[in-house]
Amino acid sequence: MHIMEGFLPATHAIAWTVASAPVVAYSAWRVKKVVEENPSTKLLLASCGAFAFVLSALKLPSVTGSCSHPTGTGLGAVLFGPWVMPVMGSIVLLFQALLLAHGGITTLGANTFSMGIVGPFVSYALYRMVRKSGGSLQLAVFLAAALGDMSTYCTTSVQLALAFPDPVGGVLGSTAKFLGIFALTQVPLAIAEGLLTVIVVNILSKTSVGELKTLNILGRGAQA
Amino acid sequence: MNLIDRIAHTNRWSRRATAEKLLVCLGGLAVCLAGPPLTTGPLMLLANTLLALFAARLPAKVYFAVLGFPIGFLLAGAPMLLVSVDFSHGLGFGWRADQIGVAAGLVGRAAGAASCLTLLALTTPVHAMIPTLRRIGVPAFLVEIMLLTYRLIFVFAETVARGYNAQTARLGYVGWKRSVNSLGLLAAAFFQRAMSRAQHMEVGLAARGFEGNFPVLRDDGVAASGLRCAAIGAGLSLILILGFVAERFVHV
Repeated sequence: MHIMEGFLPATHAIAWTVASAPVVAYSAWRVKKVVEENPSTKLLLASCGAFAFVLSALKLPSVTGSCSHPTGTGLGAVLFGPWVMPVMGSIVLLFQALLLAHGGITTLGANTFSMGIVGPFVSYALYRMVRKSGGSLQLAVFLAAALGDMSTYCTTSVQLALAFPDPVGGVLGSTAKFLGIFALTQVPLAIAEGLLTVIVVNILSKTSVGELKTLNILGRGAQA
Repeated sequence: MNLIDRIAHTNRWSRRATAEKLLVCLGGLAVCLAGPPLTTGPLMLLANTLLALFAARLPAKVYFAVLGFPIGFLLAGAPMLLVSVDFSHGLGFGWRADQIGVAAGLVGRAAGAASCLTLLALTTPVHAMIPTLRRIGVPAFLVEIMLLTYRLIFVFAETVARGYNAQTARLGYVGWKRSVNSLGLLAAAFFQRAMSRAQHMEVGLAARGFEGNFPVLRDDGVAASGLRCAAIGAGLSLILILGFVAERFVHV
């Protein structure tokens, strides 16, 4: 759910950047501590960043100046914990802008807010809640990935609605409008991403227990 | 992705000072957002297209393909602003012709801004841009992670493309259910590859006395010339002024 370059007016572009900046900075500070303790995590983080970029390069078109594709935020949040995501998400988003001309520099703040902050935190909260209340790993991962996607899409809709309020219905009307338009592509996509993430985590929890343990140094991720 | 990167390395501007190109494109973005959108955007689009085709000599086909993708979305999406949704009397839809100015302004601004991003992406290799982030205060460890990420992207893209081809050859992407399953397998296998790649690099670096930093040789290329930067600044100001002047004559 990238907002394209130049889609948001200046005040909105700046406001979303200001809103994302402290979270990204705190996330960077946490990553820095991990990297200082254990320099080789730099390689791990770079690998994960490149992994996320390559997966997310698979895209499906949608209407209204935005674009849909698997975000990987659910998988990332479950594997690495949510605090790595704001900084890694903004790096991946910057590369998507510079290497794919997808998303944008003026909309980087808004896109980081929806995909690097809201999505991962919703995913992670759901994952923890389902696991704590005794739900299976599969259910937790499915809900985390699918609803994490949905939260990203709702955030983007609100961002667009605030920038382009409806002349009659106001922000509420335009939010409903953007939610309605994106629902066509985003709801099936969220379900597909949920299923995809379950398949990935299923395989990983069988074959890559060692790697998942390594990832736990990045944050409190999934205990397979 | 490979295409954009290849053009970025091989156009007539690739060896030009990165600072100058950043000034053209980021300055252009700022002008697009600051000026009246309906006139400044199209002027910026025109200026960037001329620069791309005649100064940087980008292949027209690639330039328009990369630019056409976001602009296609834009043209499909902007008319949505003309539809109004209202909850005051139940759910009501309306056609708002008075919003055409807002929609046209959006198309203008976003098209101009998209041309700035396209010009930057196609003329400037990413590895030349990342070190300049150091200068605006991005911490060194993040810049190192970004440089490593950039290098790994191409290695990984090849791995994934091969895996995808192999799966396609075995009818892995026939039908929706199979496709999701295949993609899951591919992502999981690829994740394991990515992790083992990181571990191999770790071992390799440890064997060479890795202490936590990657000092890399930086090729600064040509230094930015003050005169050219001034000319770029003048050009951007001219577009901004023309945007404001033209706005007086354009009524939507």
